Amino acid sequence: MTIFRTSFARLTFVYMAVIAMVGTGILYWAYEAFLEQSRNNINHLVDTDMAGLVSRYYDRGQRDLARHMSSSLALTSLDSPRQIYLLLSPGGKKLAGNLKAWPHDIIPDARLKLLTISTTPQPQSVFAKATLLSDGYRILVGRDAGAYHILQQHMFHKLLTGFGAFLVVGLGIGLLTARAFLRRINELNELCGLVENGDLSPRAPLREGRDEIDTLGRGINGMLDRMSALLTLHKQTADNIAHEIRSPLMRLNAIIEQGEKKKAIPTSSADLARRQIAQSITLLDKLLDISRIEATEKDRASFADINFSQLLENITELYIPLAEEKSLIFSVITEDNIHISGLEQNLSRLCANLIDNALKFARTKVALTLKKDGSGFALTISDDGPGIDPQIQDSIFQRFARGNRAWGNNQRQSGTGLGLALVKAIADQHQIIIDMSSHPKGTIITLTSHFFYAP
Amino acid sequence: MMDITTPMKALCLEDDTIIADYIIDLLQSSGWQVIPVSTLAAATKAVMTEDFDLLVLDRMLPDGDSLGFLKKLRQNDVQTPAIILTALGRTEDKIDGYESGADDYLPKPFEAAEFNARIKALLRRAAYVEQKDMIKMGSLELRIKARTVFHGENFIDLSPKEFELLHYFMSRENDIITRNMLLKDVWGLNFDPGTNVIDVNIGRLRKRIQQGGDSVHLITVRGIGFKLEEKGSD
Repeated sequence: MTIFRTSFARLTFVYMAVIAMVGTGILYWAYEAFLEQSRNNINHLVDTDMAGLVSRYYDRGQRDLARHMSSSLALTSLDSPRQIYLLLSPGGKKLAGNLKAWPHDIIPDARLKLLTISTTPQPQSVFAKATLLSDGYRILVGRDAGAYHILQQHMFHKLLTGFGAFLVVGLGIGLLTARAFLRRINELNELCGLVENGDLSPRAPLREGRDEIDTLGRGINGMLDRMSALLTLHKQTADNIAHEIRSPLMRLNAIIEQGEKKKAIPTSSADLARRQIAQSITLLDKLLDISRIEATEKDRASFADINFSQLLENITELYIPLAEEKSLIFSVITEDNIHISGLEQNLSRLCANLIDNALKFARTKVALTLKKDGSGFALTISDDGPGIDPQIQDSIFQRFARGNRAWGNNQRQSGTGLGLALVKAIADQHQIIIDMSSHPKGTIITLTSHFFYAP
Repeated sequence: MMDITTPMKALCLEDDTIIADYIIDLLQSSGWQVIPVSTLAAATKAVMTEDFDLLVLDRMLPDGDSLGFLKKLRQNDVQTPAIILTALGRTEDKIDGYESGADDYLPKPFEAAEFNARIKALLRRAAYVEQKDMIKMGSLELRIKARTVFHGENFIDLSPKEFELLHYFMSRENDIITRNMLLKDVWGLNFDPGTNVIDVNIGRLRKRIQQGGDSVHLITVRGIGFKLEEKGSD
């Protein structure tokens, strides 16, 4: 899993986006408030200046005002004058000041305005306001806005850099935290993977802390302890059943042999009794095997790479003489080098059971083919026997589901009735799918596995 | 193989008295001196004070599983042949047994003949020295490297498996070989395939041998297994 797909990283992104939005708003507001304060200061200066000039006009008349303006301007620089003045007669004639003409975008309404003028070769930005005096005289007072612009730029850059750094650091810390979080989640994921493959021994690493991941880890460990205990119990129960049934049968066997030795039991009766004992044991073993395989179905820790083609060849070799004895045509076509991950003995047993069954019911022939099928393999075993009664086709893979195997045939077949249940358990253990189609002219069983891999 | 004056000594670890008596009886009738014990503690004490030629071990004992005991012996380089007789007879249990250092694993209940055959095979394996390239019985000759079999002048055509099977019998001349031994050693299977497949395979091998001559017979020992013997021998 990449870090950007973790929920923690997503949370970080969303969180940072919200902070960025709100932060931008707040900073913009602060920025604007600061600039407004600067403008107010300038406004105040301009107002004071304007008030002085206006009172001079009313006290001493426009000539004195014009003279005063000119002398004030004599002190300021010609290139970028700090102060801007302009006095116009009612007819619009310039009486004094350092502006050539009245700026067209300013009206004498005594409001401060930012405008660009060209008293000098370079256009200059100024704050200015104008007012109308009695008798139609107009006066304009302004202040250079250069310092204000510099302040504005500085303020903007500082805020941008600061906020940018905050976002980068915040995002970085968020992603680092997400990575640490992901590492711990990945540890748990790896653990689950191992357990899924049947290894119940590993446990989640626990830290001192008691955060939610530690709690989750503790929960998983608890579940694993419980599962291990149940599996051990299952094995112990199976062992005890085996022990409790086999031991008396062993004693019985000893008694029979002693009796036979002392001629108290005829050999024919002893043989019969021994056969019954053997059958009970076969039944017991199959039942315990099925239950063990079912209980450890997901346990793939002891799986090994098996050359299934070779395994099948070994089993078919064992059965070829039997087919010959029964005058059955037994055709075997196998593709080489088909591998499967699994347990050798169980897979051999699966194949042996199916072949044994097919040979038992076939009338003239049994055909077996093994071939690669997409990413896996398909094994088909077909016979031309009487087929399986449709009524029991669905339950044939269940324990003791024997009944009348053959279509319209009441003859009961020998066997424990567990062979196909064992086949099913082993197939499930190896994720092999069993398909069966049966009609009065024969049965086809197909096993497919999608977990083929080449060595 | 057995010295009459100093009988071979076997340790029998079994907690069920009826079964223990049965095993002791079987071993004694084959000329063994048997030291019976019923707990792992007693067995441990016995192996520390005496040398044995054979260990016969039950698995589930009052004080534990004898596989651990056997493992420890093997770790201490005690290579005495060991056979496990047990009520745990499933495929997986057998694998556990062999992995713990057992030379053979016989699930209960077993028959006397099977037991005797296994013990004999076990001791033969322990005393196994060197494989000759040619094994001869009567006029039956098997060459291992060339993988050819002649019965007198006649070449016997065998499949690879049949060759392996005959080789197995010829290297155990006159021994009774049980079906389980064949399944395990020749076909590598730890389970019983049910139908009489082994008998059919043996029947086929028998026919092949007889095609070439009459000096060697592959006979069925009723209820136990098979034996390859020279004609006229007992």
